[in-house]
Amino acid sequence: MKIELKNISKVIKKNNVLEDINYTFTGGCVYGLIGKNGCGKTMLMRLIAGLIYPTSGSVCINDKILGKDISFPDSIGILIENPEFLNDYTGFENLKLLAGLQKNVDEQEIKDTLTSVGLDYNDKRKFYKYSLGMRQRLGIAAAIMGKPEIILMDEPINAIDEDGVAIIRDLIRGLVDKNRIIIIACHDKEEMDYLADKKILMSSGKIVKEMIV
Amino acid sequence: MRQILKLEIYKALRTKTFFISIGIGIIISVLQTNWFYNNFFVENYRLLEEYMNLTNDDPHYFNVWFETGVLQGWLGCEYASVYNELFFLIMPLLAVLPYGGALYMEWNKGYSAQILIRCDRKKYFTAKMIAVFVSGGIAISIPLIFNFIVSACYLPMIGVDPLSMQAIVANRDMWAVLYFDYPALYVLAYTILDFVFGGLMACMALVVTHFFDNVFAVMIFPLLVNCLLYYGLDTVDSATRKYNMSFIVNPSQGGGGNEILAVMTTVFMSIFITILLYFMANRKRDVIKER
Repeated sequence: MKIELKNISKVIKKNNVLEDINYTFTGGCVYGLIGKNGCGKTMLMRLIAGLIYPTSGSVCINDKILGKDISFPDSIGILIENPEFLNDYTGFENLKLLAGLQKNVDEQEIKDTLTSVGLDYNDKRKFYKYSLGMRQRLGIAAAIMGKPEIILMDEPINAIDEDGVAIIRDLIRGLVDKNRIIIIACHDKEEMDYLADKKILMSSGKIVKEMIV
Repeated sequence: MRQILKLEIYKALRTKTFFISIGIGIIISVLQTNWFYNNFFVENYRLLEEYMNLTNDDPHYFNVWFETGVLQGWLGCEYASVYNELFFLIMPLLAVLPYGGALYMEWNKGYSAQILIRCDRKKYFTAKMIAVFVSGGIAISIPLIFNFIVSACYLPMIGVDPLSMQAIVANRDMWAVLYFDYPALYVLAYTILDFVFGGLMACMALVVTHFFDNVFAVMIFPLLVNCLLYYGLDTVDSATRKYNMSFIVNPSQGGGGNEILAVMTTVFMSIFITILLYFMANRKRDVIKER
């Protein structure tokens, strides 16, 4: 598993949000994106997910160019910004609808995934009644459901209580596999030290430094 | 494709606004039936009773009485009350309400991203368009069918007698044979046509989704276009009526009679333009809105 970013730049409304980024992510480790607000962490994640197109340069996933050879990575789970689901459905129903689009996810796996993030799959509350923390957990469940090869999580422990943080932390570490790339952006330095194998410092849309934890 | 289409149609037909839209259509339908029953049907039978009691020295003795047919009471063809015009004027709103704003909401909230990473981009947009089309079509068809069934409960299934001078459709007009001889088929044919136009009006909201920063503007747009066509374009040039969607959709053919060729041309051109603009607008763009 390999993601190559080649001379990536992204301009939005005349602002360079990403500038000449070259980096290669390989499977088997957790990458932590760090940097100040607005430094381009989320934008980089969106770009890897295929949700936005680079103004110049290319994203190659296993040697396939994103936006040219493939529209989106073949196997990816994302949690970017606030997790959004359908308001009138329960957490289980929401995941079931999404799982319907993936061939490799059955009902039991949905239940297991919900349990693994600390949610009750029998909970009859609709999504709009979920607290922020529950929404975040459901977002994580959607990201890891089906065990995708690429997992992108932007602030995964946002709004999650202390017990929940420990669960999510262990869950993420448990997902590390040589065929899987996990990229996380997080403001909590302590968490990042625990979660990430490699930390990537970003500033003004550029990768400034790589640190091995 | 089947999975995403199933998901989109499932979502479209389960929204609250879908039921609200049908509810509004049904309310108009019930009000119209109530009005027609009291002001037309009952009145016509009172007239019959009056005629039956006439003696042959009365000047009205040889007057002819015509039975009110099902089409005269149907919302689509009943033109004496305000309800026909009201229904077809707000038709775009009823069509858009169920699912027309869905792409805007999903796109701006980021839910589209969850779908797109799991299925092909083209399939997502195609499925979304089909679901919006179907939901819009159903929202328009159900009140029309409901009204026809209610009308058929108290009115005979007969066409309008041309001699009665109460026929809104003329001999030369589109589907006149059905109107005069096979009323149920006329209703069916026009309901199908309105299903198509209802779907297209709903899709109009999809096309403009990316041009507005407000879901209200997206959903109101087809209604504004309809008003513009109905009041604006027709005032400027009434010769365009036979190609004017806002006149074509009305089964009473009150715009001076429809022509099958013009209707079909309008249908296919509308479908072509809608699909073209929709896919051009969504061909290659960032999923998350640039702020």
